[in-house]
Amino acid sequence: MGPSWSTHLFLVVLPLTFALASLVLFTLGGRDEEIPRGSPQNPQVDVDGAPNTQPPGVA
Amino acid sequence: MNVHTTLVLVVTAYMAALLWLGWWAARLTRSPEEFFLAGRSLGAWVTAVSSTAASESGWVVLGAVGMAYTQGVSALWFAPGCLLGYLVNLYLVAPALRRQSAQCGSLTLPDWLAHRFPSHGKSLRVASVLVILLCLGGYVAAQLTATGKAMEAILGLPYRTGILLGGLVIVAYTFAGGFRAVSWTDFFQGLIMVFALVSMPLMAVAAVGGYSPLLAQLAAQDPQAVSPTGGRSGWALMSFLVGMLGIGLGYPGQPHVLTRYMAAASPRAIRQSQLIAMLWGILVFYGAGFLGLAGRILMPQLATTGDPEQLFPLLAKTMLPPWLAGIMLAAILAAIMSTVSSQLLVAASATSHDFTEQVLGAARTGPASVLAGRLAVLILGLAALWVALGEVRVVFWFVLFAWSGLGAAFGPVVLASVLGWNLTGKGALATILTGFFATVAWKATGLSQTLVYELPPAFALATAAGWMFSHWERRRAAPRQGLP
Repeated sequence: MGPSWSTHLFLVVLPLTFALASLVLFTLGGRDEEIPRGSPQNPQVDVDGAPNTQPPGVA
Repeated sequence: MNVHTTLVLVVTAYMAALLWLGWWAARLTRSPEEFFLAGRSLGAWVTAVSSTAASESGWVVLGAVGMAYTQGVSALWFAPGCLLGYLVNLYLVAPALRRQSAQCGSLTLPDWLAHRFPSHGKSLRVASVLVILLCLGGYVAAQLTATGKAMEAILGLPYRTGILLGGLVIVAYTFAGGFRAVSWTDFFQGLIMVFALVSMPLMAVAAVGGYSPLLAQLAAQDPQAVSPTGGRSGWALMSFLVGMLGIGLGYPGQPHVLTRYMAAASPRAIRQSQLIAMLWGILVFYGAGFLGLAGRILMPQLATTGDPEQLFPLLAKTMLPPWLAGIMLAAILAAIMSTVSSQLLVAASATSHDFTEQVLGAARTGPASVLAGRLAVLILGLAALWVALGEVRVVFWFVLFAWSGLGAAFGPVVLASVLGWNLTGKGALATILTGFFATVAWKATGLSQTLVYELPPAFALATAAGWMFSHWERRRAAPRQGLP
């Protein structure tokens, strides 16, 4: 008995389904919003008082 | 130049690259946020590849390949199990965890839980730290023994010298560069892993004539080897599928993976990392599976006279020129070392930040906190090395249960939190403790072997405990607050 259609589904179609699902979920994901420097999420200074050198983030 | 010298040169260059990344990261590390979370600066590629490399240890390049060799096509059920875990982690957990942890300034997973459930903050920190240390302590030691075995097999180094060499390199770059070093070395190691687990299977499948000839030859060997059920039926099939797919339940509870999402520079980085990480997972898991299947045709003698888990290094040495075989063999070390350094840093941050600073109240300035983190890495790393050098084989028991213990303890509480379920502080504490102790009890009573893999039942028990305690706490609070 050779490989059946279920073997090909399992080995080929299933991984492609995961790739497709990932792409669909990525496409349906929300928009990114900017967080201005100085907001609580992106403070002017680090926790030890050093200047925050990170670029403004997005939320 | 002979084969051995070439292998030594490639592995030496690999180790040197790790140490250089550690030195580079150390120059950028001044604050606790830098040491424990790389200043929340990880881009999409580093977030994606480092998180996946951290979650997949030597198991994927040795164990999964050997399992596909031994069991045939049905062994590949681990891949959808893991990829479902990736989907949940990347699309549900990562965006919410990154946002919430940035808002409350959390540096660690226990830190985030304490902010999320302030009424039981201290208890949650203590429980989380204990679970992390119990699970990850043994895990790190066991992975270090795997490093020794890999060095022995690849370079012919004595077992203990291999443990010392690999362990000291890991401790050195984690000590120096903290989270940034661990993330970038994991990124580098994740690229080596995906290169190895794409190119090796392609060459192996081509060597047996391609996809269809591979399946035809497997079917000629054993018709069950090409069946997705492997000839199982009834309860045996159900138990097998629950166990294989249940592996994915562990992903939302792994602190060394979750912290990568917390360290992402932006939600845009998280979004882009979703696609990259999923692609990495599909390539690596199915690559490992197809390598095992092709190896069954190329090296049939391993089934009776050898160890199928050594298929990857044996095929690399047989099929490839020495320099390329060296890169492939470095992938084995990469898989092991990327997990060890991530777990070591999480254990150290739980000890120095959560326990000594937040629970015991040791007040530290920024530089002192970084120094305490480095000392915790050094002490825990050397302790794990000491255990590994003692050849305490029982530590492998920890590897088997650490994934489940962390997954069942933290998975339900993380999912409930990011999905906005109405979990209370008592409920969160009950979830963590029930998940951990249910895993231990299930394993200790042998139900893992006789009934089903411990993670799905422990996860379900932890979720039920969280729901019951939350319900009970809300009912007790309602009359006091004059609520109906």
